[in-house]
Amino acid sequence: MASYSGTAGNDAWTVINPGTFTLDGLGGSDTLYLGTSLRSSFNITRSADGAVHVDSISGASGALHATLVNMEKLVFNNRQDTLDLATYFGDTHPQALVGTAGNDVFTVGTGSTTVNGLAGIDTIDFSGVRTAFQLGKTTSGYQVAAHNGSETVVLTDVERLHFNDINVALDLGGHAGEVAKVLGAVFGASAVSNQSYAGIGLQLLDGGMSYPALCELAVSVTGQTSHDDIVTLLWRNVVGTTPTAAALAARLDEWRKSAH
Amino acid sequence: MSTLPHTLLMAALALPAVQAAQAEAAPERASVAFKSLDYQDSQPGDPRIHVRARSLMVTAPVAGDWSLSGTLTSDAISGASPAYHSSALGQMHDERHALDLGATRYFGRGTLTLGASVSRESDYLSRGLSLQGSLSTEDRNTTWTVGLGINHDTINPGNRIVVDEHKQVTDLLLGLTQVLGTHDIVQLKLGHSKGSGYFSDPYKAFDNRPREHRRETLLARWNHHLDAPDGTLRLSYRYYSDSYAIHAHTLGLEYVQALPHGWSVTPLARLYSQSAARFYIDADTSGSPFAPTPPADARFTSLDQRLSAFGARTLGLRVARQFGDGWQADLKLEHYAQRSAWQLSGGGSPGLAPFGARSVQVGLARSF
Repeated sequence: MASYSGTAGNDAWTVINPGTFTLDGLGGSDTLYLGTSLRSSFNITRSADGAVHVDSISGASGALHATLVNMEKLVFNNRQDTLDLATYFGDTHPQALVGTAGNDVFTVGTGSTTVNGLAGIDTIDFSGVRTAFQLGKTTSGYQVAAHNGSETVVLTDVERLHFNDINVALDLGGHAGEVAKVLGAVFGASAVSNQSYAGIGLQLLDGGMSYPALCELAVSVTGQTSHDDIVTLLWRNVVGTTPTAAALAARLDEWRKSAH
Repeated sequence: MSTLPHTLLMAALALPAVQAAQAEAAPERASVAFKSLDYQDSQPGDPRIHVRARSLMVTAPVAGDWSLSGTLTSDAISGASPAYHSSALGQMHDERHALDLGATRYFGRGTLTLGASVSRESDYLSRGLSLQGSLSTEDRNTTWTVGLGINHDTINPGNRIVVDEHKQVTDLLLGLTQVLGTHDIVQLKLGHSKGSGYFSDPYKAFDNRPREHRRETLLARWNHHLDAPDGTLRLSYRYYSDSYAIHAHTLGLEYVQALPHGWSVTPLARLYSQSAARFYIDADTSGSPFAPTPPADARFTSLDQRLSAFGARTLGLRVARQFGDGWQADLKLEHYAQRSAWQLSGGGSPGLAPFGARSVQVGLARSF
């Protein structure tokens, strides 16, 4: 069975010919146009995994069997009849969750949900592994949509995503960015993608540790104690070369002056 | 709703709602004419529409200054029609039955014809009235023609995309025919048409046309008789423009050669070019197998190949035989070919399959 995928943005397809296929709209608001066909020409059902099935009613001139995932609208009758899949199956309007000025943790269920975490370091718990979801950027934040179509979450001011197998940090301008900078400078570029290191760093910063304290902790882990060795270590990881004697002396001088 | 075959038949069988009346004396004899047309169009690998049309026309003089005419037409239309561009061919079948009636009053230098027509398909009902008058100068060398036609159509497509839609079209015709000596005659006709209602094709995807449609036509003809071969050269040019921003040119050339024993042979050629409607959406196969999706904010759209920019040529041959006892028979063959690349400016619409058609028409007539 042929499969087609959209993008993280809004996508639209038109199907005229009969056929059997799976269509995953991924992110955005996605639309499937069915030409001149009437809504009454199809059986439209949703399976337990959240996928929507559009099947020609027996007797129609051509048989269409479409399995739709992450699709938001069906349009019939040459654009005169629009079916909103978010509400078609009896769903209520999208659930809207709003956080506080502190750190919030949200748990979302199936269907459509919007989450505004407001201030603080806010986390959403997802019941599934990371690969079961599509993560896309929106104009005001992010959107997380289950590949099986069971849930779609639109995020604003949410910093953390918790999946069964991994945590994802979205605030690259906040704690996540600071952790990445410390890991890169102290342990090298490869450490930035080390999920264990990143998780520890985020846990400490989110728990109240200051950025300078995290830096000191990271350096202490390397076992380097002399100023010369520490500057050389940072220089190699940040610049990528061994510092010259003059450069090393200049950096040490700056360090001593800033310490006083 | 079979717009294309209907248009074709009207032209092929010469049964327009507003028909030029040139004679200014009532016919002395009654006549009966039968015509049969077999039309088939196609694109590479796929036959499309097939039309079998039969018509019977009767004309009879009445009370010296009158004539009555009637034409009964029956078409069987079948085959496949694309849902968009030249893709997604869907099967269709329909029958059309039409009746045209006319009554003409002949005056010394003029005529007045009142016509009525009705045409019915399973999804389309058309009713029309027409009034046409002609007036000639004293020397009969100059004839003015004025015509008015009104058609009211009701559309109920089988897919129920619309129900009880209507379309009303008013046609106005102004013609001038001038005899230029013994060998030449020229004719100029101006046509204006204004319609309102449902002009979309309900069987085409994303076909949403304006509900107002104006059309302007200019037709110029020149017939020149050649003594030596005893033949007649017929030249014609037609310009068409409409409120969809379609501009079309048609150049026609026929040569009628009289032959011994009542035979005549007429080779013909027509060249045609049109620009695309302003709301026509070009074909785009990059998203195959999905069809192109017009912009969501587009007010009017059409993916109908007939509204694309293309050029076409028609080649044909008519052979006729006049018998001495009032019988006349003719056979007409035509072949039509349409290509985007043949558009006059070379800017034809991309991505469309070549389109072609052939027709065979047989006619038999008898005067009493």
